[in-house]
Amino acid sequence: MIYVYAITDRPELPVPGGPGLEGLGGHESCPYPLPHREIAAVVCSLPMAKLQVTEANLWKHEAVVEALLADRAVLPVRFGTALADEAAVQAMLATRHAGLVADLHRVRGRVELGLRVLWNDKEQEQDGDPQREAALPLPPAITYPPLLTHSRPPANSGQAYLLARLEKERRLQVRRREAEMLAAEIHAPLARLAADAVREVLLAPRLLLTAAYLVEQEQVAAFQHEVEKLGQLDPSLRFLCTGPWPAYSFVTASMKIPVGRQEDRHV
Amino acid sequence: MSDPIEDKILCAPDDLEAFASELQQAGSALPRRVNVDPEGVEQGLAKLVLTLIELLRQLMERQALRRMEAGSLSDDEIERLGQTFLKLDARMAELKEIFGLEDEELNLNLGPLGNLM
Repeated sequence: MIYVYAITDRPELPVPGGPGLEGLGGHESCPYPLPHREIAAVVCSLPMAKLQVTEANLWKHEAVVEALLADRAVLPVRFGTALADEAAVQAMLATRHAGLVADLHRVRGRVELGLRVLWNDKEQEQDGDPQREAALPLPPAITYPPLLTHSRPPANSGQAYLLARLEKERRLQVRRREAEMLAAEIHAPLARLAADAVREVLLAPRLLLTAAYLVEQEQVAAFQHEVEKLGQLDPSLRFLCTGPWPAYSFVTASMKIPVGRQEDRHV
Repeated sequence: MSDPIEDKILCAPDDLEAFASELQQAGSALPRRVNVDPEGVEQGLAKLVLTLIELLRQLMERQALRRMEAGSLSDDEIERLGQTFLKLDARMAELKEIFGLEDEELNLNLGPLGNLM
């Protein structure tokens, strides 16, 4: 089977080799370009059994993709993507040609920078920052059904349970809104330095922001500086910025191998 | 050779552990694959099934809360609904304990809709 590392432009260029850039199958299977018109897939042949999800293999995949970044535009392919044979790869390049060319144009000269921001989980801490909380637009007061207001339901009753749930729901909503506001404050100045950006808010309770930015190679230092500046604004926030990466988060759906066929090709 | 990940960190706090545990949680929504080892298969399936039950339970509960807020339920109805959810909640807690699952493990990330819980 043929393992795919990346789609690139400049199909005439050889794939860099040397220590650390061997194929996933070992020394006898070096990555090579499989051209189609003005683009190429960088692939290596690999027996199914060799494709194992280990940290070392992930880095091997990454090393090859990053070596390509030095002299061409690169659409990184997700680790573990393999097709039946060279003809299948050629067919994929042919059918998705226009989309791939457009994507290559978009990522040329740019790298991906990842950002994750942690905040304090107020659900666990109870006493949060009163200033920030005061600045929040509170949701309208809970309107209890009329009868409940003058007779407090006994604990353990169904009413008490639902009322407690209602309070919790309200607290979560406030928290979500607070997270969205804070995440937008952090995201905006960074997005201005990027050609494109994607973000998710509160993927986990303490994970305020998870974002990726497509940044010109020359802008990486400026971006890093901006992240450091943002990191000093609020000591309760913790920033983790990584990169530069190939533009994994900015490859559009045109790259994806049809779902039904993907399963039996993944290991 | 130094750890390749070191070269990829542009800016980080002293304790990366906090990130590691959060990321684990963010990534552990539905099990990608059910573990089919004889010992693991029961827990893997239980996690899948309980996650779906939990999703339905929470959706129903939210619907009830919405109707309660809108004032369209009588006290009697609220009491009965509340009792039902209370019992369902207790039963879920029992099942989670039997299969050794934590609340976080049954949480589904619903993309733009946010987390289930």
